[in-house]
Amino acid sequence: MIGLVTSLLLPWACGAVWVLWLLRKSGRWNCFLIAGHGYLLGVFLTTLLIRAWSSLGLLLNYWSMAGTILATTLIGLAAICLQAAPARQAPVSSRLEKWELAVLALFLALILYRYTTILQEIMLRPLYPWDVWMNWAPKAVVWYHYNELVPWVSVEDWLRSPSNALAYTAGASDAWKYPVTIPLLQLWGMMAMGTSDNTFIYLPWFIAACALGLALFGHLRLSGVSVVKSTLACYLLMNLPFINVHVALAGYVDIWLTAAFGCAVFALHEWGDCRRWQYGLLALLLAAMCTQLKIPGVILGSIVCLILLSSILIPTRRVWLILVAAFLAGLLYVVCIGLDLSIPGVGRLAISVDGIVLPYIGQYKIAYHPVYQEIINTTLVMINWNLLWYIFIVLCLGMVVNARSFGAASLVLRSIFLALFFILFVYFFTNRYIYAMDYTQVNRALIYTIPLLVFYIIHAHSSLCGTHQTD
Amino acid sequence: MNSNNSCRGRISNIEFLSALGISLLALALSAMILVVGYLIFFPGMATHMKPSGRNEIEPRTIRGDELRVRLGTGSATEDGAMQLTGLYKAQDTRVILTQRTSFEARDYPFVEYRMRGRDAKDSVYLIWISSESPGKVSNMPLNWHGNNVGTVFLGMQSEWSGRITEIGLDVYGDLLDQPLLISSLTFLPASSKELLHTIWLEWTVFQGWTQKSANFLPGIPEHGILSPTLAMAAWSSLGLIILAGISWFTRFHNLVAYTGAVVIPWIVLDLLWQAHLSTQLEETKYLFAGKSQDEKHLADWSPELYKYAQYLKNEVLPEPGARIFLLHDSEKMTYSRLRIQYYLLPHNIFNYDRFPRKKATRPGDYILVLGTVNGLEFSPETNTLKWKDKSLLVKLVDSRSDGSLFRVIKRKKNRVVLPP
Repeated sequence: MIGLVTSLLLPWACGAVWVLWLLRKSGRWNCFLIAGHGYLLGVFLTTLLIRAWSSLGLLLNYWSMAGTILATTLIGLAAICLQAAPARQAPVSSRLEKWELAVLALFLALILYRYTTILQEIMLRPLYPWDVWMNWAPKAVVWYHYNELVPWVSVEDWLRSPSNALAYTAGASDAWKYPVTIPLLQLWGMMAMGTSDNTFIYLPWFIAACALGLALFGHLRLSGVSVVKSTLACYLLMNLPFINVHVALAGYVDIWLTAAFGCAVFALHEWGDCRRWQYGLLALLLAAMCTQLKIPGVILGSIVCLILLSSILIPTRRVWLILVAAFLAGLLYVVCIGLDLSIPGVGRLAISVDGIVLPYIGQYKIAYHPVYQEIINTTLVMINWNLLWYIFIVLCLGMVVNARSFGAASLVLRSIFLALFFILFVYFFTNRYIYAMDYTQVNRALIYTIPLLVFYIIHAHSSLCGTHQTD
Repeated sequence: MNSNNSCRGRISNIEFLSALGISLLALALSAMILVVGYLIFFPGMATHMKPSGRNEIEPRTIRGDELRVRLGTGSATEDGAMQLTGLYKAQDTRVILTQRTSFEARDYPFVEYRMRGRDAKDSVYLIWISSESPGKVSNMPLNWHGNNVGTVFLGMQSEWSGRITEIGLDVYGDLLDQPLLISSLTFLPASSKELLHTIWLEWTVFQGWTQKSANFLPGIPEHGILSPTLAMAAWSSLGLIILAGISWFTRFHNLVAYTGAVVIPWIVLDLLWQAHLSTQLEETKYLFAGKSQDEKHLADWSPELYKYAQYLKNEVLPEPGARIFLLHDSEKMTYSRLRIQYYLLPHNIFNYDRFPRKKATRPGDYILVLGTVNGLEFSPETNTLKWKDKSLLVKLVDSRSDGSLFRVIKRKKNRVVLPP
């Protein structure tokens, strides 16, 4: 039991302490966003520690690593004590009216009811989702057995390996090269529980959803959104059916990538608003986490970096024209001639009208596939996203006539459009369209944009309302 | 009630209540208009509202004991039900019950089914033959509602046409825990009340987790009439339009009222989802609560694979380390072969083929054949595993109906030779 408690709380405490240390200097923080970002970065740090431990050739031992995390937490606390930080800007908050308290209580009750149900589901049901027991959990089970990070190799390498070589290959042919963060998190839980087969190993999935909700609430409050609207935002996000499924049927990576990408963009928004470098750094750390979670995380992490860069280098109209001209010239070159580079140590990068080859990510044929019916079904007809996409579409239309809502949360909006562009491009123009046709992947891609949509909707609502409480 | 621009500052309790009241009024109006409009314009009902001849159509009821068991076994009960007692075991385990009949499909777009002792895992289909396609058996799934009664709408099924000549049920399940009793099938004429009732049943039907749940959540069963998401979106949208109308006439502009017209339908849809999750939790508790991890696996899907894997791990296989080639009679990555690979962890398994990869096998490797594989034969006389024109010298380590485990002794040339 103590193993379970420490495995859940130590990474959280460590992450929270260091996030607090980072953000205290900015003078703009609150305990909700510290708790939200803190858990995600604490988990990321824990998996990095396991990797470092293994690369030093040490046998994996839970208590030694837990001790290291505890020491890191204490060092962080000491650093905070020694830190000279400006006073925190407290958000303007006045006494809530009775109706506000009633509405607040309603949303909290709905969230609480939902997550009590989900928690029981996680604790009772043995590992259920197919991809998890096929691709992610096996690595952790093997590492747990050997107490070391035994290599996972491609099918060809496995077949070539001598009988006595300790190397494994996964059920799906590409799974051997998936990033290891999620299996390491599962391993962490297994080591803490002393078994590779226990439902409690998946409790971090529950906390990840809560951390995302906390971060959303914290950032909205920091932006001056009222308590009621911030709680409404948490309700809208945390009670979405598709988010709930990925917590209740724990084990998939997608809720983690959603949380990491979402929090990175929240941090970007804060950076865009107040230009505190600490939030830029926080966004970069979370972008790094995205790249270590799943292969599409590389693209999402790149989007965060790109948006950050675009907010630093604010181009003049002339520079914009040059950039657009350069982009069009590049496009013309790719269409007419094509690009094919072999980058040493990275791999082949090829772009032509026929297809794209990206190092590490894969090879895709380019052709138009009309999957709009499936996209409409999944966003507007099925129950996956409640009414979220309707609201977003109406707001997008509203943006055209109302410049204020267009301006609200512009870095968030840029991130939404870039992420949606990436996702829709993949399903409309590459051979992955089949995963939109059969709905096996499309929602697990759209989920990454969902926290951003909620954040934007609440911001736009506050902007329309003119009720931002300025600090 | 001057709420003009009230959204620009904090609003009082009274202002909030006024806004909420206006919002509820707009939503009530919206709901009434939508329901009436839907009933008038719903295309699936138009045909069925015009009966085939008579003015008044009476419901037709088929009692359970009037159905003839065609596959499997069943016995009539004293109260007129049919108790299913045995399954016909072939490729699937099932029971088929039918009755010859004669009625016009267009007269009866609804069927109400009454069953007792049905488990969520049991799949039940209504099956029928119509005069328009006499050689074809059509079917429609009958959803599990957690209680004994359900209704489905057949009016949108293209096969539900012409004269129905035979009707019945096709039941898949294990019937282990409790006997399934078919009480009756009642065919109902078209009515607005029945349509709304059926839509509500579809919105609240329990579908349970499937391996597709992590990919998408349809919200209604296959062949469902109306998506709840679409209905809530329409409800909210019309509510907003009505609010805009009210605002235009009364100069009552309150963003809280508009927000209410969006959030209230959202909450209704959310509560529908919560009802699904709560029913799912009941089912999960029934299956797993109070059980050890081992017992949970035995109560889960594919307990036979778990038991076989535990047997191999505990009694047959050596300590993890040796390479195991898992063979199964499927080209694709099927559930059973992947699931047993997971259960066999941390054993080192290569799980891709139907036949051994001869060049890759080495003495000391294991070959686990799950079930039987067509074209792969073991010859005990020669200790040889043969497929196509190839063979491998092996030792049979274990054999059961679940599968066979072999240990590779050495590779052989393609020509089959006897061991010394």
